[in-house]
Formats: sequence, structure tokens, C-alpha cells
Amino acid sequence: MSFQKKLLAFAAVSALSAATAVPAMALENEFHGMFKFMGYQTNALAGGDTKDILRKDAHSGFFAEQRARIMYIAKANDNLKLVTHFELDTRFGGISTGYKGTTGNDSGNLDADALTLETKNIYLDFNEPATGANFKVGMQPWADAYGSLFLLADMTGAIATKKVDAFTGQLGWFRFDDNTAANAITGPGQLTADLIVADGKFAINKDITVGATYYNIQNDTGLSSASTTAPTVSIPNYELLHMIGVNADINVGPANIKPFAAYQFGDQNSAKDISAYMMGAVGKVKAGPGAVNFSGFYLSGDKGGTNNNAFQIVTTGTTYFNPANMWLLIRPNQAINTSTSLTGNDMTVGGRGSIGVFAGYEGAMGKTFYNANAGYMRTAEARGNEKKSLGTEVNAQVGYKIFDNLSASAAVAYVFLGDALNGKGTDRITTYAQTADADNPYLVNLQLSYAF
Amino acid sequence: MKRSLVAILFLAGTLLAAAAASASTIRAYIAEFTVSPADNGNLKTTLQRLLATRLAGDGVVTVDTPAEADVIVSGSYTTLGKMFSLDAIAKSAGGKQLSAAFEQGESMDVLIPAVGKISGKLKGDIVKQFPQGATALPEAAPKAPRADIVRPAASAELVKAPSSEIVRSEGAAGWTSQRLSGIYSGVATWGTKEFVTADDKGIHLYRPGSKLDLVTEVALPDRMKILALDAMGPEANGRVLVFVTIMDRENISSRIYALQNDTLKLVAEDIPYMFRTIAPYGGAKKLFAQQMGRSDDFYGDVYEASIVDKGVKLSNPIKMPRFANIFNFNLFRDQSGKSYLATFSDSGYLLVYAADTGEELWRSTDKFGGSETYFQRRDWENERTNMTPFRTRFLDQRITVTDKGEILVPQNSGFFVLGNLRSYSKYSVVNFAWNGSSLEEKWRTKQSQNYLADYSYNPATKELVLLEVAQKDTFGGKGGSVVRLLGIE
Repeated sequence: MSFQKKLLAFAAVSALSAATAVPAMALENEFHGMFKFMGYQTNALAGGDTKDILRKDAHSGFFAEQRARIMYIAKANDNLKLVTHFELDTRFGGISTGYKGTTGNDSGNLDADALTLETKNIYLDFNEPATGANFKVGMQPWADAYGSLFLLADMTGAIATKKVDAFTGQLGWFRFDDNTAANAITGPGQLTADLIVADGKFAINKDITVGATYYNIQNDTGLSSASTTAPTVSIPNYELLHMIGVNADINVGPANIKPFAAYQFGDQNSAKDISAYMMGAVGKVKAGPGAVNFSGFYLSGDKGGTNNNAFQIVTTGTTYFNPANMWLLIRPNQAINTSTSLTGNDMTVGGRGSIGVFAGYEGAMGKTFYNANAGYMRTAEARGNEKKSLGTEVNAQVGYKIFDNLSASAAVAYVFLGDALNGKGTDRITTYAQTADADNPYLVNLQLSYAF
Repeated sequence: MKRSLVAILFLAGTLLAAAAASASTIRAYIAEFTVSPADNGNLKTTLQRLLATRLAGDGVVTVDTPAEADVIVSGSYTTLGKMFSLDAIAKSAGGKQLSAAFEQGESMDVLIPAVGKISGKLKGDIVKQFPQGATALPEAAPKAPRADIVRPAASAELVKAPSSEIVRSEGAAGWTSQRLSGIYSGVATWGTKEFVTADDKGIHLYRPGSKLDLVTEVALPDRMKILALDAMGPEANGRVLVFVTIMDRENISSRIYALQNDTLKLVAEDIPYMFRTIAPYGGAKKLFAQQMGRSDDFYGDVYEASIVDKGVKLSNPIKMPRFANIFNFNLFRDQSGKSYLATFSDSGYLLVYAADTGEELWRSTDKFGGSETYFQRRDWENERTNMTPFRTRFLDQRITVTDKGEILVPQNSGFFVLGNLRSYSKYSVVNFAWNGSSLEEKWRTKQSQNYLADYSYNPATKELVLLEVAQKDTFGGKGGSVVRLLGIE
């Protein structure tokens, strides 16, 4: 706690000194934005992001949705800016029961006019003049150095970054949960979950960068308290987690490879320890007019025993693996409101762990761009009679850049379900396969994307 | 009835009196002073105001615009060594010189008395020599009194504004090519009339004559994007080396072409360096190179580069201060020989750093530079922040240092939105001189209603080769570009 207090105090003093040390200049307004329209013909999705539909005789239908993002940056000078970022999500036709952060309908109903503005980020970004370090304080995005398999989320916190020649160091603290009731007489910060980040990157030369990280999660949200209501299930489902890892970014000839590996240890609870690991790589090789993409990961799973050997995350909704370039097996990086996968974005498959391998080819011809990909996923460990194979996906996309920042595209994706998801009895994982003998899921996606 | 008659007579009398008064008043306009070599302490307007207050009186009134003036007074303040000279000329609206006066002195203490002396002499001459009849109204006013009708004197319709009021158009002295189909992004020269240009298809050698003739061209694969174009030479055998900085699938994969006998021949390809030719300190043109890193878009120092056996040899590294990279920096010296580095900030301000310490010394109030040329790199980690899987990095304009040690920078403006969608619609080229503490604007070219994609300065002919985009890419259209050649001396 003392470290956190010091960090905050330092950040506050630094913010004040940065604000007063620079000469008065006119405020500059910077806008960024994005609009995406997505239309789906599919038997796997229904406009929501809990999980894919996996059942026998699954109905196919069409739905459409849109997302807009608006980013406004109030820039006092090159060393001080306030970043604000908002989002507006709507499914065509509307959903009135709360959707993507809204509490009422999502304005897609007849005559629109609903309140749908969501706040994504509000943070101060400044360079402290004395040390030259960069600070970001507030509600901000953060991503791990492991392909976002562990955590990618918008969180409230503070992070400091300092570059010294080829070394870049980062220290951060995020409070991603605080269940302490307002005005609780037990005092502040009793039921909290914090993430501490220490990250170092060193550029050995222009072609090789190596990095090492330490992440620490202290989860006290499940503690009992006389005057506050603690959640019955704390998120994440462990009390203490340490995660140490190494990563690299290497250029070799026509190839770029980013390998990574991490080990997790800590306490799930007073009786059970965590001992888990992960590894993976993302690569790209120039070939012909385009490039071959490949990627893969291994997340350890739990067979049961004294230790919990399953790779731990924070929540399934805050994990990604965008380099896979999948549409159904893993949530697509292009997804907007409907952003889910066969396992409901849970790449740990409920603690079973998983193995995924993916490859594809992408290229462009003038204003036309294209990609085609294939991927396979299975669980690392099987429970009971369950099978391991989750499925194999093939997909392809073709798009056209109407303007520099406006593109239209069409994609198709099809999954040959593995035994673990289309089994007839206890061999299937019932958390995801809602009926026996589930149909192979597919989708056709039409997209219009504008970003500036 | 009688009251009305009295009132009419009274009004007529008043108006006639006013007309008579105006007939005997000389309206003088004092133009802003020209000050050289530098306007310290806003002397231009101070001198203008001092002269205006001293000239007024004895039948002379001062007015705010040259259009309503009978007499136009223009003046200059010049310092040479320790001496100053204050000069003023009064001309009638028709251009006839009525009076000229000057005063000189050694210190600012005698400047105000000098203004008083000059104003006395000017006033005397103006009152004596001004042709009263030119604006005098006819004494008989059988119809409406003239004072009711604002009618400029015949001579006033031909008012010639003082030279300081006119922004001279250099366009008349320049040469403009025919419209070239497509959007060009880069241009490079090497001291002769020919130049190479780049667009999204490849590079093209042009020769200006009565129109711009395409001599030869080289097509590049679709996947390659040209970031920069530069040229060195010609060598003794007439060979010119053309350096094409290329982004190929997120990596730098540059090419060098040899231009000889109107033919472009590939000398080397897939070179992992970004290139730029610069004439630091306004001296000889040199080739520079910088690398792209895995995490840094501009990795490490900028090096002087030379081509040996198809390889690149690096020497004399220059450490780049914040914001500076190979594409947006240049070096200049002041009179004492101290070295400075000029660059653009990410926001577009012109910055001057001390070259030895890297300390920022000055930044402009207005924005300069500005380019629509960019490259994109995959950036998974920041996808949620950037809202695309790519990080977009815009390059900036060249900064040229002339052999006088002055700085030339373009100023693209008409920016309609920030973010990763840039669109400039007009530009000027601005000349600055370092006065020891700041960059002082000396002149600028007439604003053009096009976006300046790139430019090149030819020190031998003192000519700018300006590559303008006359029409942006539109749906179904290819856009259009124009090359202007403009002498700047």
C-alpha cells in the first residue's frame, strides 16, 4: 500500500509541476474516430458476446450492428495532454435490455434517441520535466506483452515509462476492482483487486528487442467485511498471482518472430497454490506479393491435485489473441459489439488449458486487400470422458479501400468442430456445446470500416 | 413654413461650411515603416504612430487607409553599424513626389527628435506643394452639397498603395508544368534541369521544356510504398544516384538506381536503410541514412552514408534530439559558428535545438511543414488505443539550409481534421534567418491553393522545384499533380 501511495503522490506532484513548468500555450484539439458497420449471416452468433451458438440444427439468420468511437485529446503542449475516448454501440433494430455497457435500449430501436455513450478512457498523459519520464494517470488501456492472452483491458491506474538509450522501463499500478461501498466506515481500499506491472525492454540492435516482465495481482475483493457486501465469487478466482515472463521481437532475414513464455505462481486460496505456465510465438514471413502469418500458443491446464496448474487470467472478456486471425475459434480482431468465440473467449477452456496453431496469408493488390487463414485448437488437458479437439477453422476475406481510411470487405469463416464440441454424449464439453451433435458453425461477414 | 425655411438655410449653411473646411484639409496616410535589418521592439508601428501624431495639424489630418488619403507618406528605418537613418517620402495619391526627408543619428535617444524634424519638413512641403485644386470643391453648390456625396477625387481612384501593402506574387516569375495524372509524393533534383518524382506506381524522370517531358520511368511492385526520394550527383562520368526509401510489408527495403544517359538502372535493392540527402550548414549535399527498429520507427542515430561495392558505409553519427529523424532535420550555424539543429515537432511546430547539447532553444508559434506521406506498422498491443491494428506514422517536410545560412521550410495548411486522416489544401514556402535567439521570417512565397507533397532546392540556380497535388484522390479518379519551378532570388 505504501508503494501505491508513494506512486500516486509522485504522479500528482509531477502532474502539477508539469502543468506549471511549461509556458502557457493555446490548447490544441485533436480528434480521432472510428465507425464500423458489420452485417452477419450466421448460425453461430445472435448479436451478443457471451459465446457462440453450438447446437444441433442451429438456425441461420442475419443481424447487423455498428460501433462508433470518438477520441478527443486536449493537448496543452508536447508534454501534456488529456485523452478522452468514448464508444457508442448499437445492434440494428435495437436491444432494450441493456447492451454493451448501456442500461436501457441501445438506440437501434424505432426513432432511436437513447442514451448510449460509453466512457472507455479518460487519462492524463504527461512527460515529467525533471526525469523525462512519461506518466499516464487515469482510466487507460493496457495490454500485456504476451499477445493479450493474459490481459488487455481499459483500467484505472497509473503507469510510468522511462527510456534510457536502448532500454525502456515501465512501472505501473492498476486498481481494476474496488468493492468497498461508498462511505464505508471500515475505511477505504478493503475489498480491492490491484495489478502491479514492471516491464523492461532492451533493444540489442535494430533487429532484436528482448523484454522481461513481472505482473502481480493482489485480489482482496472476496474478503469478508462486517459492513460491506463482498461478492460471493471474487473475480479473478484467486487471491495472489505472480507472473514472470520473457519475450522477444526478432527480425531474421525476411521473417519477424515474436516468441514469449511466462510462469505463474501464487495462491488460489489458503489451501491451494497456483503453478502454471504459457508459451507462444507470433511470426510473419514475406512471401510472394504478401506475407505468411503464423502464430501459436500453449496454455497449461489443470488435471486436479494439490496445485492448480491452469493458466490464470483475470476475466475471459479481457483476453485476446489477435494474431490468430480467426473468426470463430478465437474472437476476431476486427470484431465490434459481437466479440466472442466457440469457448466464450475463454482460451483456458475452463481451466483445461489449450493449444492453438494458426497460419495464413495476406496481401494487397492496389486498393484490394485479401487474407486467408486456417487454425486448429484443442484443450491441453481432458476431464473425464471429454475429448480434446475443439475444432479447425478456415476463413478468407477480401476488401477494397474506397478511400484511404474507408474500406469495405467481405469475409467467410467455417469451423469443422472437433469431438470436444460436437460429441454425442459425455465426450463433449457441455459448457460450450449446448446440445449433442452440434452443427458446424459458420458466418459470412460484411463490413464497412472508417477510421481517422 | 418660416421655421422650415430657416432650418433649411441653417442646414445648407452648415453643410457648405463643412465642405469649405474639407476643401482646405489635406488627408495624409502614414504607411507602416520598413525596418532593416530586423524589427526589434515593433519599430514599424511605433514609427508609424509617432509620425502620424506629429504630422497632424496645420491643415493636415491623418487617415486610416490609403484609399481615403490625398497624400501617402512612406518611410524606412535602416541601421548600418552604429548609425541609423530615418527616411520618409510623401507622395500625392497620383504618385507625384511632394517631399522627401531624412535624419540620421547614432543612438535611439535621438530617434524621437529625428521623427519630429522629419515631420516638420514633410508637413511644410505637403502644405506648400499639395495641389489644393485637386480636391477643392466647386464653390457654387446649386444642388446637393458635395459633402453629402462621398466621391473620391479622380486621382484617388488610382491610389497606389505603398509597396509594403503589396504581397508580391512570385508566381509570375515561376514556371508551371502541365497537369500530371496521379498523386505524386516525392521529388529529387541534382543541380540540372531534370528531376525524378515518385508516386504510388514508381519513379519517373522528367525534363522541363515548353512542357514537362517524361524521359523514363521505373515501376515498383504494388506492395511497395515509396516514403522518400533523393538524388546525389552527378559523378564525373555523369552518373546520378537516385535513392528510393521504400516500405515493403512493414520493413524498410530501399533501392538505389543509377541514372545515366536517360536510363534508370537498379544498382542495389532491399537495403534496410532510410535515405535522405541534405546540405547541412548550406554546404555540399551529403547522403544520410537511418535504420528502422522493431519498436522504434527511427532507430538510433542518423549517419552520413556512402555507397561502397553496393553496400552502405556509415560514418559521423548525429544524435537526434526529441522529434527529429532523418526526414525532418537540418543543421545551420550562426555568425559566431555555433551549430544548431532545426526540426519539426510531432504537432508541426518548427524547433531549433543547440546541436551540441540538444537543448531546445526556440519553437515557432505557427505550424510549419506538414505532409500526407505516412507508413503503417502492425501494433497489436495498442490496437485498442489506435482503433486499428496499425500504428500510423506521418513523415514531415524537408528543411533546407541555403548557402546564406537561412532556412527554407514549406508551410502546408488548410488542415481540416486531425487524427490519422490528413488533408492539406494550401501552402507557402517560408524563408527564415536566425537572429541569435529566434528564427525570423524574411519572406514567403505567395500562397498556392494546392497541397505541397515535396520540394527540392537547387542552390546553383536558386530555384525551388515544387511538387504540388492539384487534385486529391477521389472515387473513381486518379487525382492530379503539378510541378512548379520558382526562382527565389
